[in-house]
Amino acid sequence: MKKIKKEKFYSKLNDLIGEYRVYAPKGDRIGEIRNSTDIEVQTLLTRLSAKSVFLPQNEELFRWDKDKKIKIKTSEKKTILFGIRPCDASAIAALDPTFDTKEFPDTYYKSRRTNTIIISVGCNEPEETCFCSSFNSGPFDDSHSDVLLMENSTEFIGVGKEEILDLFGFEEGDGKKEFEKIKDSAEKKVQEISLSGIKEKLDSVKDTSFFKDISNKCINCGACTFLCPTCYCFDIEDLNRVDGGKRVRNWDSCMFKIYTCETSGNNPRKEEELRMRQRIMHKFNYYPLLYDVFGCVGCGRCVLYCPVNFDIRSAIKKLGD
Amino acid sequence: MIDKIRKEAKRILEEGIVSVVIGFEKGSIPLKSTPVFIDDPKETEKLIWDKFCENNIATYIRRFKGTKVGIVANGCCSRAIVTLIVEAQFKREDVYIIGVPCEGMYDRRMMLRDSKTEKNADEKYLYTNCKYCAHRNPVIYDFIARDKIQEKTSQFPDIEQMQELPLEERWKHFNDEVSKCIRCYACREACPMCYCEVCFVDVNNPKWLEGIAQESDVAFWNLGRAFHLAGRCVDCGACERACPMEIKILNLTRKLNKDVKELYDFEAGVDIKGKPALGEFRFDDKEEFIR
Amino acid sequence: MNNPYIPIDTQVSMARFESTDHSLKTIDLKFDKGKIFDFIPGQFCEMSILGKGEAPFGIASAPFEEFLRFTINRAGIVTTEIHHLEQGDKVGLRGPLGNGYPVKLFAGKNIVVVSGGFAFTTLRSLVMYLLKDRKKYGDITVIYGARRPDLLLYRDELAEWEKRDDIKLYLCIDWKFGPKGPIEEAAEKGWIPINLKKPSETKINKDDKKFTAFVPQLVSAVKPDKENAYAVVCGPPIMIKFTMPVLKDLGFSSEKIYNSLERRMKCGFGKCGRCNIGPKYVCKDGPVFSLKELESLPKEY
Repeated sequence: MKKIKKEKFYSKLNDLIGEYRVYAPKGDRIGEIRNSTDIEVQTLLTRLSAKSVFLPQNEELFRWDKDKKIKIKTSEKKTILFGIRPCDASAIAALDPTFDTKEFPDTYYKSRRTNTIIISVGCNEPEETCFCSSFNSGPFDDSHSDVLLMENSTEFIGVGKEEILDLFGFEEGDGKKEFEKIKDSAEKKVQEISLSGIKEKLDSVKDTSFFKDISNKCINCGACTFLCPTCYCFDIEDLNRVDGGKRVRNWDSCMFKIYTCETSGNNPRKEEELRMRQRIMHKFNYYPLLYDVFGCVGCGRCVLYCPVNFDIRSAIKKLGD
Repeated sequence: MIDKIRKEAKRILEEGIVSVVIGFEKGSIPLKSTPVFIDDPKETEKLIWDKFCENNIATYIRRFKGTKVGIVANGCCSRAIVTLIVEAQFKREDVYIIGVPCEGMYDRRMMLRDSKTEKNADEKYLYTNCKYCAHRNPVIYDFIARDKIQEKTSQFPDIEQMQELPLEERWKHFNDEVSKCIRCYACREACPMCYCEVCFVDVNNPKWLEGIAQESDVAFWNLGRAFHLAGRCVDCGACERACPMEIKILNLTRKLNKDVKELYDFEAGVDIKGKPALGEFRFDDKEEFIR
Repeated sequence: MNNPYIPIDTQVSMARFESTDHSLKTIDLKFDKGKIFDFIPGQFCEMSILGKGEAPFGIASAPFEEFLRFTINRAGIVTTEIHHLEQGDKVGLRGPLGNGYPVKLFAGKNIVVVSGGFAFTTLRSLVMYLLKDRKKYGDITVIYGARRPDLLLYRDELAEWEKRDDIKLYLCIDWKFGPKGPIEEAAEKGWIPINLKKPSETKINKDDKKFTAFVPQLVSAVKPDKENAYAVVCGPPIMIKFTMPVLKDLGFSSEKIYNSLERRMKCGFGKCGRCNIGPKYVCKDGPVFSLKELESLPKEY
């Protein structure tokens, strides 16, 4: 297994800044760094997930000038996304079937996706709220990253694409035993929730009062959807400026009351339980039906940050009964 | 005390006085209690009261139109109920209040960062608004779970300290805080007093502010909400506790509460027969701001 | 790569009000460059007004016509702005979007079109398309109603269809309808009242085309034959709610009834996530769905 001393890795990363745009954890979100000293890891998972690199909260689709002539900004810059957790990387792979389609390709998402190298770092100490192993994944899952690193006090031990490991100067070393040991102990700490038959179980309760019973305490705030790495719903808004304007897309949430409200005032999802039903069915029934992948990666952010402690793990367990 | 709460909740359910009791039960993550809705008298054993019952559950009362609800309410929750009754959102007869004198809630995030548990945390971890709370006893109730505790007078040392700082520092602090805002509206939904059918941020015609999470729009959102709550905010802190980005919203709302207290000697939710400060004009209102 | 969010420039070649209260406006568009894109009846476009927003509208013109026609009901910000458009103005367009009516399935079959109000837009496209290749299809029956005569759309086309003998046209109005029943006034103007208590027993003569009735009642009176037939129903939710049982009673099975649904839309191609019913997106997998498909989806409509 290849490994590298941390100082050497960061030094090479600093060299690449300029040629590459580099994103890394900066406190509570993933942000662009100018130097490796900007990297700040406060918690295991950044509050705002890595989806903001590919699907920014506010993205300009195009702008127009006084004469209504349309101009599109394109960004084809090479990017490195470093320091995200394997669950965030799985989440981005889950977004692909929606945005990277043949018929209506989302050019903004696509150009970022093809130009980005993902270097994720495994979780030595998963949180109590993590349940990524429920989704054929785990704290050291390398299937959706270009390179997966294991971090100890002095080094990174890496697996993944050879050309990227070579780019940074990884060298052959004796890291395999340590990697396997940390991986095993981390995997034991992650809770695995049984998802067998969940699509069918949800189908059987979709028109019952199951969702009303569990959604009583949900305040429909939208925090879960904004922090969720796989939630992608957006709104399109026209902004007027002095000399023209721009059309942007903003994050939106199916938990907001006005999400499906029509101009006539008719709202198909007026009641809270219908919105909760939409959220859970979308993540565990509709999305896997369409694309064979769950709309959840088990990162646990929604559990950690929900103001009223609505726990999706309890909801899934309750379904099992 | 918790036995008394459970017993009373069981009684009012068994006797059909209420159809549901809203309270707190143990949460699924450390140091968290979560709202619970009990309609079966046998399940009242779930009810708890500890230092982590930090949400304001008065928000849920409006969901139960047409039926009487029981609620386990401390000081700020009961004040929210009074404010909602004054604003004609429901009637006094629609709620049965099991009052709980409360000594404050602990900041669970701070405790987790310092690796504290329930047993070894001390008063240092009280939320700011709990530390300076002047209404620890419920202001109205149908049943009280224990003897009332001593009240302090209303005070705002945290706001006074902030007002001493020079303008540039305050401006920087304000911008640093609101720039974290992601417009998720958790603060709005957690607040019992934010019940507008269409919030001012969602109004399309005229469009008061844009949906982007930048600069003037986040500032306008946070300020606008704070101002819409002036004279109505009961200082429960549910907004700051709900915010996933830990924005210090209380610095804004408590400043406005302080101003309303000084200008009009008014605190929201204390007098069920009173009128809201900014909804009523009195001839003796201070007018120093008119120059 | 073609960016599907960018609207194409088009120019308004005709704009007129349909109804006397100016709530409905029909506009025809021509493209700045090249000819109009190819589409199937039932598809829609997102009309884009820079600075105000976008809104989806069903295409009312048929694929062989030289203009793109839309009829817009004034309801919100974008539609109000569209109502201000006059001949020569520019407007952006994204399309064609959606799946359209299953015209291939309709070959050799009898088609029954049931519609109400200003939902008739895409059905004009469908009927014109069927009439162009008339021999390919069996009987064509059109049952269309509105509140008042001036709220019926495309009265020029309706007048032409009235004269043809290869299409059965039935129109109805239901203004001033209440528990008291139809008013003599309407009957005097040539609109025949139907038997309100038992609509199916109304006697319809060969040349009777105009009635005072609600659309579902007129369907009961006309009694379209289910044999070898498809029904296409498009109208306000309340009309659909009461028409479905009538069609079912007449023997139409769920897979032979088609609906065109509406939802709040933004992107128009299944990415923004808001218009879904279950795993289907109304903008991408619809807006046309068979009743059989809808019955398997969660009941949100």
